[in-house]
Amino acid sequence: MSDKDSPTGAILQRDKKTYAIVPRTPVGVVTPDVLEALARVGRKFEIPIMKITSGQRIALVGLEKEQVDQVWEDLKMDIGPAVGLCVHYVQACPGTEVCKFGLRDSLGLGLELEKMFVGKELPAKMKVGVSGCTMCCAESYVRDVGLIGKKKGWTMVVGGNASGRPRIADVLAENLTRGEAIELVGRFMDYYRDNSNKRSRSSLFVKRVGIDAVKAAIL
Amino acid sequence: MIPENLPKGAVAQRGGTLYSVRPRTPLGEISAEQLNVINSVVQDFNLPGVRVTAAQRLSIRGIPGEKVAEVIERLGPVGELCHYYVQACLGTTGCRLAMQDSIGLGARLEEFLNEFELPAKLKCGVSGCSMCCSESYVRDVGLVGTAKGWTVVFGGNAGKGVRKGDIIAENVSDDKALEVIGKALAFYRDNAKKKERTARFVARVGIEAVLKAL
Repeated sequence: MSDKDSPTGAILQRDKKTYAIVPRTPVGVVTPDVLEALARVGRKFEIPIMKITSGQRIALVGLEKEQVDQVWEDLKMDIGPAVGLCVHYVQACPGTEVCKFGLRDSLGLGLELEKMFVGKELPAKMKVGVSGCTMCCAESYVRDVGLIGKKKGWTMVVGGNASGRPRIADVLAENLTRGEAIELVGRFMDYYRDNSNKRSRSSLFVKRVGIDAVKAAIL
Repeated sequence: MIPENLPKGAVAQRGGTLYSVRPRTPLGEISAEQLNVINSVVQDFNLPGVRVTAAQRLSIRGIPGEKVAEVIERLGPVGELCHYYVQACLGTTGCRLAMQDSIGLGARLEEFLNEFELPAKLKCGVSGCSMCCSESYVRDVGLVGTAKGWTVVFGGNAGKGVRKGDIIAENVSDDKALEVIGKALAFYRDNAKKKERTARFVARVGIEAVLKAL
């Protein structure tokens, strides 16, 4: 919830004076350059609170209004959507890139989805989790769109939610190739955009229409 | 090269030659100073960077075996002091929507949990309002702040055994919330099988049995 006077990409805080910003760190990966920028900005502006979020991002909290633009300029990073009605983030576990248990390249697929879909306008916010195995470290079953890597391919689940009205996602399709998974994520988002009520999260939408209707429409 | 005595807190990556460590960032809070230390370590050891995890931690990866001890020494405490993790949202510390002090109770909960030896790992989420940014309903122990106090949730899971947690108390104070959690965990500790997470445990014995123990 950002008020109209808020500077770009800033969220007004409880004291009604200071702001928080959330730079975009796709699938939680922070390169040495980005790390250096965050550390430099933290030092220079004496940022009171830096908070690691559950969405694999780092929020900078307690900025004065006039600092916001300067901080963004210093960071040279994109804004991570945190309030709009769109795809906010894609989170991913390390998958086959790093993890011993990984069966699929969750980081690679997550990054590709992030580039394609973050910021895409939808009836409500959307969160995506890509896990490289069934341990589900990216919590795919409680995301609007979840992907889970298995031996035979990707399982795609939709309509999950981890909020105060939680919902476990329904399985939409199994044994997908990476290409098929990306295409199906796009089809699901379009179907949801065209058929859901404004501000109705995918969990409410899928519950209302039923997973069979979703399957019939997009598979 | 695999170090003979792998320091505590280091995790072997795929392939077995590189390691990752996670500096201790209780409740996801990290100071500019701490970020600077991490930054200088990444630069000095020419590491590929860090990854922000879903558990509100930073994972520093790609550390060669022979450098692990040195990296840890530079970073300070790695891993968890509390062997169970607690995540929290900003709560009344900053967020406009917050009803309760999630960081404050989260810190108390961490300390409280240190008294327990449990059958399996335990993840906790403390959210300052019903938006549940700490995803309390899908944690082993979840707290949700409301205008009247805390809602306590038990037996949730967001991973392989996904399960929506059950409410075990409503409108309780900080102290009462910890008391209820203590009783639920004691019941779990005494009756669960080894490595059985709370979600499976509650599904097996039924939430009524848990409520009776309270």
